[in-house]
Amino acid sequence: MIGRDALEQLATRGLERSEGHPAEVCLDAFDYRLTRFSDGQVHQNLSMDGMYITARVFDGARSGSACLSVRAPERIEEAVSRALAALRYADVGPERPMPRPEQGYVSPDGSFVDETMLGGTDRWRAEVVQRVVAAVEGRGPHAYGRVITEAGERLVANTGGLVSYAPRTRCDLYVTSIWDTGYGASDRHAYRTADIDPEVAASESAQTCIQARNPKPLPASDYTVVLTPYAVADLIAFIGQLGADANAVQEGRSFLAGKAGEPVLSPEITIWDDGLDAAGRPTMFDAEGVKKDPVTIVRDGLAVGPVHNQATAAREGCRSTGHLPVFSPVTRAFSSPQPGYPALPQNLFLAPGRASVADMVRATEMGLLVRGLHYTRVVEPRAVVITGMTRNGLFLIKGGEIAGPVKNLRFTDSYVRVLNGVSHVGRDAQTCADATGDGLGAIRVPHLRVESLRFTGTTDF
Amino acid sequence: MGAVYGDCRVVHRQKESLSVKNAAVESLSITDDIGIGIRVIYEGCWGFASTTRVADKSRDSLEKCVKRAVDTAKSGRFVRRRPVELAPEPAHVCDWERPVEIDPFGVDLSTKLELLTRCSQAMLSQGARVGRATLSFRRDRQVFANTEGSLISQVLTESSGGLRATAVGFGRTKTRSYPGSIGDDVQGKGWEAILERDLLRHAPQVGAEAVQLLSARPCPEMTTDVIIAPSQLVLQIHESFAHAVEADRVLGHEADFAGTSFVSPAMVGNFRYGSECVNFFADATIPGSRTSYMYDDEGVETRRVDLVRQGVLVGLTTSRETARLLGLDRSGGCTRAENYFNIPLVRMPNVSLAPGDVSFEDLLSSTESGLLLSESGSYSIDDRRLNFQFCPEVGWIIKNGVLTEMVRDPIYSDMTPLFWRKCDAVANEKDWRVIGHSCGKGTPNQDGRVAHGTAHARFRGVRVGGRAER
Repeated sequence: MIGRDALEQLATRGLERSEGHPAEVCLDAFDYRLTRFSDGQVHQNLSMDGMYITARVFDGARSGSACLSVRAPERIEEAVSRALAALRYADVGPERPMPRPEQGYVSPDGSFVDETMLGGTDRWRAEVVQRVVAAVEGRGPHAYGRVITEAGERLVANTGGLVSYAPRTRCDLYVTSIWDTGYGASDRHAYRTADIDPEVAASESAQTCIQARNPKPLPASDYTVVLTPYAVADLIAFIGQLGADANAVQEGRSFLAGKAGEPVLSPEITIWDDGLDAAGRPTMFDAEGVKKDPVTIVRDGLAVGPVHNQATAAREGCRSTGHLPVFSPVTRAFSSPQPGYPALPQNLFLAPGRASVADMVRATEMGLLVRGLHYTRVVEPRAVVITGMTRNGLFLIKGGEIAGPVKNLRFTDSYVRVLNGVSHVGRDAQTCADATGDGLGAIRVPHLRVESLRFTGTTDF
Repeated sequence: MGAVYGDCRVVHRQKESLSVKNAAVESLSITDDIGIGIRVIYEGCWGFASTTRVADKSRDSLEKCVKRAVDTAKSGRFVRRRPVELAPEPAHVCDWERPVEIDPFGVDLSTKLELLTRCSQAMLSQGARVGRATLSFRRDRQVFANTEGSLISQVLTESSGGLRATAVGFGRTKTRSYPGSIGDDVQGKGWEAILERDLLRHAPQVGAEAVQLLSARPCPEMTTDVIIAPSQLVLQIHESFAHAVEADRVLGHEADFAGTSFVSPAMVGNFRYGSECVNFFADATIPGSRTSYMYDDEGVETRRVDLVRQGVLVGLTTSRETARLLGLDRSGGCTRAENYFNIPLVRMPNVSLAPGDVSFEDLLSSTESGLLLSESGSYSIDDRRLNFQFCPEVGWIIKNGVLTEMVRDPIYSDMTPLFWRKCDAVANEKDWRVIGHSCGKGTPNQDGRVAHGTAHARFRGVRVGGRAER
């Protein structure tokens, strides 16, 4: 770890080059390690470190900005100088006021950091792979997967006196099991290595794979479905991405537009975003350094509110909720902030209910247990119509019992429609990755039982 | 340090991205990034490390980076099943630069922003709610060297620019794009690529068609003949062919993330992937593409590799490691890393559908009834690359060889080999072009450069329309 003081000194060096213009720098330091394995053999073993620096310079009168991204700390002055040079062209930019100091956030010492990760994790990752492979292969399937650790720090500072700083650690384990026609998967996410249990993850993946062997074909139709948290996370992610962005609400592109206080989803559904809740994967402040406020998006099925960044908040005369998205400096080599300046909830939660998975299955006369979804893409954004495939285990439910595995199906449906048909909400929530598995945030959700998901195609496995 | 093999790539990337939304500058960003990625094989295990510490010429920091790569490889010994081996490749020493007529970084920012602002205004003038125009330019100066004696310097410049109009009404949102909806058709050219596409001339039409789509009737559900335009067919090729024949997917290296493939090594040489008129090849030597290069990121000299000949699968895209695992004499030169901090992966170098011998005009006029599908919208495919569903931005009903009515949501879906076997004609060289876009692959995700060449092609008896909530 570089530490707050050293990063702040570096930021100050850059900000002093802004020639009196309001300016902002974001320093994102990382030490990323990954071990990836295929059929028990390690085929990728990586160690990446560095720092991603973004400088933005504003002109108060013209409300423009430009940014320059570099990855070397010795170039911070150059970053600000070149952003300044580009500023003169950004003369008609939208209103995007710089956040004030009181909007910042400095992480208390030691929060959300696992010190055991700071000295490198090569040996730990190798041991996890060993344990996972042994546990999966001991049951029969072939083992595939990856183990990731990342230790990093982010500091955002601006010439108005805002300083936000937080160190972070994270670890992720993904386990895929394959045995002829059977597939299974599981994943675990935490900020402490001690919270990852390789055997439990391996067991879940392998057991699903074994149960999923020799699937039978099933025609595409509308089915009642019991969705595991892996699948529910996909639904909630798209609801957040397409519905809760204040830009989309303001432009009428969101299903929440014009619906404040009205029913939009099932009364069983309450969704919120909380970047400081340790049960998820905290990202305490956004790309502008603004502390993340907890934001309720849907309460008991009623539309509440979108999340805001500085620009969308300025348009409505309200306060940013701290939701200009942050991306992993390792995986998303973007010049932050993004074109489009979306406001995205990256720490989503779905309120648990009271049902057990057994309750949900028992209540289903004819339906499917969906273990996971794959390659989900937007067909129509306003109604959140999504298409995708099932993956890693699909099981027929008949007469309130699991009847056996079936071949994967394609679905095309409105997630808004689907989430209006929720009958049961699970009592236990699980922290799931975002869509790429590389993001900084996470989604914490329980199982759901919904009356109908529209399946539109079949496949061969 | 005991490694039996090592290579390194130094990459200096300059990038400029501009976006104008609703006639206001939305973003103007510059990236200037340099670093080194070092890959080693130690006792049969891979190790990789990267660092930004190259600008200060610090020998110490480079040695630390090498040590990290070796240490990482050492940890893999505990779980090694078989030693990593590479297919042989001669040492190459070469300097090469992708030709550029007009340096895109030499064009003034004000010229670029004025063009984008006028395009955005032109889209809005037609009633679009959002009119976004973008430009992006990138130049990579990269040097590759390995312990086998290769020293290769390449300069790769690329340019892209596009329009995207979004209209809102009738409870729905519709978008039209030009010249393509995925990645703004990135070309391995300079500013001339922007001039060739004449964004300003197309902007009013893009805006008008977005509005028109709102009230267009949905594509009827039917089984019909479809002609797929290059702006959509590139994605079809990408998803249901190019990924399926990547050797790393075939061998299971992507099983934990993107998935595997229905293709197996045993199918090479005998599997009917498509009809007689379907011929696929990989060729990084095609000029003007964003995936044109002389040597891949393992120092392998590129060449044309046939993948499907007259409908029959004859090859896979390979790296040095996967070529060895498949028992091939040599890699196909298909390995690239997105940046210095990424490891090289099997990528698709201009994997293309070869042109046929009929003109587009004849293809259209000989289609009694059907649909013309254009510009990619949504897309999805299963994790073995079999069941796909695409929803292009727009469809046009064909009646008696003439385009008639515009329809929205022209979803089509099929199974990969069944679909390619329905191809009965590919338009000729005159209609053929290479379109560049991006593709996420690997962990950590690499938003990599890809491009595919194709002309319009016709497919008989395809299921279109759908049961989606619209």
